Amino acid sequence: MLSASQSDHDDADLLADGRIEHLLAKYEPVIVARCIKATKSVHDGHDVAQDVMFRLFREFEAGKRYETLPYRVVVYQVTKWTLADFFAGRRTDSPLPDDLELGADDPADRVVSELWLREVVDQLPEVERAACTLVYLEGLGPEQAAKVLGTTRNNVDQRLFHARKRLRELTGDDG
Amino acid sequence: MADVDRLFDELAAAYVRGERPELASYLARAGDDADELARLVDAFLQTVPAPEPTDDEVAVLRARLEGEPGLLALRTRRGRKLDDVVDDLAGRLEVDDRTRLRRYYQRLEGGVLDPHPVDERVWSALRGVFGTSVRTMIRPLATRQGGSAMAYYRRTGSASADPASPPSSAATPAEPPAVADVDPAPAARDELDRLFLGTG
Repeated sequence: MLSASQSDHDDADLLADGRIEHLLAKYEPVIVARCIKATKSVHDGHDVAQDVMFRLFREFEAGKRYETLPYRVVVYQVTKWTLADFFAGRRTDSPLPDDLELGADDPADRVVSELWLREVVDQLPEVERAACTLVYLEGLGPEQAAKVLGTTRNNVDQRLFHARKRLRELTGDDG
Repeated sequence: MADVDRLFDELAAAYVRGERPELASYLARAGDDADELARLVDAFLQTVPAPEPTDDEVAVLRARLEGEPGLLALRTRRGRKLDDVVDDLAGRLEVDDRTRLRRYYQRLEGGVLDPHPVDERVWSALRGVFGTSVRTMIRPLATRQGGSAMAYYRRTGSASADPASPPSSAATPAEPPAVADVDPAPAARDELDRLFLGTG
């Protein structure tokens, strides 16, 4: 997996090259997941996600390039604003107001721009770090990770516990 | 370990591998824990770099921005004939009535059929047919004139389909299909109708 900074750098190049379709394809799963989570509905989530994608496209067509902001943060903020429109009963496909300030100081946005799972994983004890790296950063299934580490699936499951706990804390759900 | 943790680990690993796991099907498997799984997945996706999309995914997205339904773009790009896809789908869904299945599939592919009531079995079968999740790519993102396709769908209402009336030009609609092109749902639904229209 790419590092966050390399991914941000690649995004900036894509944006500069006008490859908005590549960026939208890359971030569609992130947008859909956020919208489903927020609306608690697969149907509404998919529909609002379409609006987020369209708004990002319109922003691009309008010449917005956000040179000082990682594109993933732009995605996060446009998604947040579109969901706010959805819950307020406003149109979710209209152009974003000109006075919306991308990159404005918002603690929630700072979480997105600064916290990366790799950093969480790096702080774990070594025995847990290895399992988390293989599954959450390298994409091995838990069974495969168990084979690599010479342990059981159950043991790997337990080693992943603290990374999931940190993610739950991020969502305000420590259960 | 709770099932939601196992589902999350499975989905997270697949996402990192670039496989585009279908969140909706995982949420369905999570049952009462769907909200918890959705929160966990959302936090995960916000904190790992997004994998690069495949060439197919980029091409499909480009087509959707140009007003074309994404599933149609994917099939065209893969060079698969409509009947070939329908045969494959019929086998996976264990459907004998290929004529009606073909009409339903054409409607779905053409963006005429409301994707919301479509059964999870159909999405799963289509994932098998195309080797990727197609659920999010059904509808175009923009109209050919550059407007919002979702605005169009909201204005015209959700399209339901009559299996007796396939779309006349599902191949390359200039705009999202007009609601006048869509016939009412059948009064009595059999299993095939329910797969694509829901239980009504």
